[in-house]
Amino acid sequence: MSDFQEELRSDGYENVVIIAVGQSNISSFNSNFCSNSDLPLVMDTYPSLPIREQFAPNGLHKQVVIIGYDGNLLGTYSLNSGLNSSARNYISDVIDANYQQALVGDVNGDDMINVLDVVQLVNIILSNDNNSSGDINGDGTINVLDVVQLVNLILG
Amino acid sequence: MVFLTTLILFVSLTFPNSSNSCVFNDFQSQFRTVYNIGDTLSIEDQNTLYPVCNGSGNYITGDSFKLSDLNGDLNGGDYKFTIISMNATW
Repeated sequence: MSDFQEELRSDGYENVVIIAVGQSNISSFNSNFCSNSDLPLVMDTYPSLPIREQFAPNGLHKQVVIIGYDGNLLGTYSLNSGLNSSARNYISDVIDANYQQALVGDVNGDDMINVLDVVQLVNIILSNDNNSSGDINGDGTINVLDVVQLVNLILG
Repeated sequence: MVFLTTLILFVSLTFPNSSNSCVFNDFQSQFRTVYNIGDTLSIEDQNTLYPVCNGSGNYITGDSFKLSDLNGDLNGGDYKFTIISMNATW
């Protein structure tokens, strides 16, 4: 899976993080995983296994769960047949379908949305630049309403 | 009859919480939030801490992980897509 993470990033999906979930009472598996993987391994605490439970029935072994940039559950997939082309395509498609939405507000392209984007947006407006990344509200024009929208995005 | 009443009273006083405890556990399990595609995880679930036993990327072994680490709305604007690979969750 760590190779797949690099593959996604090289395809332009820089904001993708893959987390592996193990089970706290299976130390031999965890040791084996840790010696063979460079993914972070997060422990689901036995016996309640809250991570598995909250994604049931998709929280079982070899399942993949995709969560969007705002905590939205976007998709699940079974890797019982391995990380084959169907699995890769499914995951890529889910991320692709939601990726542009995640970039709204990232005016300066640093993969973060913060006050620096507000500064950049104000500069765009003052310079009459026609940078489409500044059209935060999607109304086709870049003006103070986009600044308001961006500030609201930052403040949550 | 007096003996039986005394016995019932003794048992009730000796194990006052055992049945309540089971009910509470069942309640928790039965009503744990389960998410389907399209649902947004609750803030509480996103903020639940889990131990990291193999460090990589931004995590070192011994760190705590929570889903909100990757939610730009909750971490100050660093938006990530998270792929959770379930391993050994039998």
